[in-house]
Amino acid sequence: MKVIRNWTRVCAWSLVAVLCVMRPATVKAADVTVLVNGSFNAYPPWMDDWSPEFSAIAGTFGYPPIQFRWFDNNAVFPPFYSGIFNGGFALASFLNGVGGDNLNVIAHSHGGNVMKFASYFLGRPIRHLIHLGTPVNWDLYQFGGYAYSFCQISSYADYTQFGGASPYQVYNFGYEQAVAAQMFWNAGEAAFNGDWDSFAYYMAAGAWHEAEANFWWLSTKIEWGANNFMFGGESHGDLHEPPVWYAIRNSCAFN
Amino acid sequence: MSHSSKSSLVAAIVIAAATLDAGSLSAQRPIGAPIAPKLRTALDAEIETTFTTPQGQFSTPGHFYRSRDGKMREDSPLGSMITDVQSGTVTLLNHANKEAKVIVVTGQPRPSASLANKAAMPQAFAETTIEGHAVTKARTAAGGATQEVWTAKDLGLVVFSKVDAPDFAMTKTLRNVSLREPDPALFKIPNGYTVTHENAPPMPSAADRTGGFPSQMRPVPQQ
Repeated sequence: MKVIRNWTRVCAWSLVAVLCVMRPATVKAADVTVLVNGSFNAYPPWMDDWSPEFSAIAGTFGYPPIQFRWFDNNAVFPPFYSGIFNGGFALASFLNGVGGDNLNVIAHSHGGNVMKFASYFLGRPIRHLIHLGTPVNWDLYQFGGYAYSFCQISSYADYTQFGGASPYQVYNFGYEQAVAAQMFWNAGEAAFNGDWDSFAYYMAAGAWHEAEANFWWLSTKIEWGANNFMFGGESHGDLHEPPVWYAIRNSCAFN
Repeated sequence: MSHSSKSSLVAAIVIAAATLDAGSLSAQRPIGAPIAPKLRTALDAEIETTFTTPQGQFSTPGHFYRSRDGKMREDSPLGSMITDVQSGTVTLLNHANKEAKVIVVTGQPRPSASLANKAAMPQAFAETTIEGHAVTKARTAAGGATQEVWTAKDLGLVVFSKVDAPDFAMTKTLRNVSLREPDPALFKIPNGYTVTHENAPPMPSAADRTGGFPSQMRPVPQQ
């Protein structure tokens, strides 16, 4: 009996020792983080095992993420967006079955819209949802995209993100930009000829339409219900690189 | 009239003309701008554009250039806009895609400032000095939004503009104005750009702005 008691004590202390030295990451191993690709490539290098971005995300959460790939990723255009809807069904099915406690999803580009559609069919909550350069498309706005923490990461200079928006947003930007250009030309001509009343009028009109153009431009980047981060000159691809990840992770992954 | 008194009169007229403040002539003008064509001053300036939305505020840099012969260029992270008064074109450069869109604006019907809705014409409300330049502040309001335009009278240059609409505001500020002729290459389409031409779109009427700013048109997501 004494031997058994001693063994019990040894086992108990061993368990305590293991718990004491165990890294927090191991505790979180029951959580799941899923990466979702964007358009035109189901195997983008940033999602590869131990790529710089993969490693940065793994280091943040303390365990490696897993990859979800949607393959109908050329069919992302209006009016049907069929690839996004097909990808959304597949992603919802995957996420409902993947297990784990907290579920995090990090999606690039139209992968964010796939996730929006998937969330419509999800039977579980998302803990951290992070959209990297996802076009905010008003055609797809009625579909979810919700989480306890939802971050939208954009770049003001990213034309690809703009190009993935709805035709309505894209047309309005182009129209207002052209009207602003015409108004500024009118103002320039008026001032060149010394007509300062017309200059004042056309400058004000130009500034107004320039602001409208910028509203439409930003409508493709700012997510109404999310914590938005706007970078300046980064390209579409830069948004899934480690510098951006390290800049946003405190607010989007550690919260 | 004697020769000496005639000379005195001529001298008085010359002195009066030389010392007359052109700005005082325009005290009753809508924005108090000068009447002399000062646009022909070459210059360049830094631009800071700030956007404010309920989701936060951020700024983007830019640069403005103006040549003596009526060409202007404005750079922003989206690209460049080159306005050429003499050729009647506006060129939009997309540096990301290396595309140049040349919009022919001359000869297009346009709203007349004289016929414009009075509410759309900025009205002066203050004078100040910024970076050593006399500046007239003017504002207007339409459709629930307000707008301010500050013009440096001696440069013929808008140094600050702001559109403040519900849930959206944009301000553009010009700083560090340098009076110098920009490099002529700045007003040309760079080599290797795909060039397309198009006519200006139909211009909205002066009353268009009374319809309001589109900032509250966004769809509401279903929760």
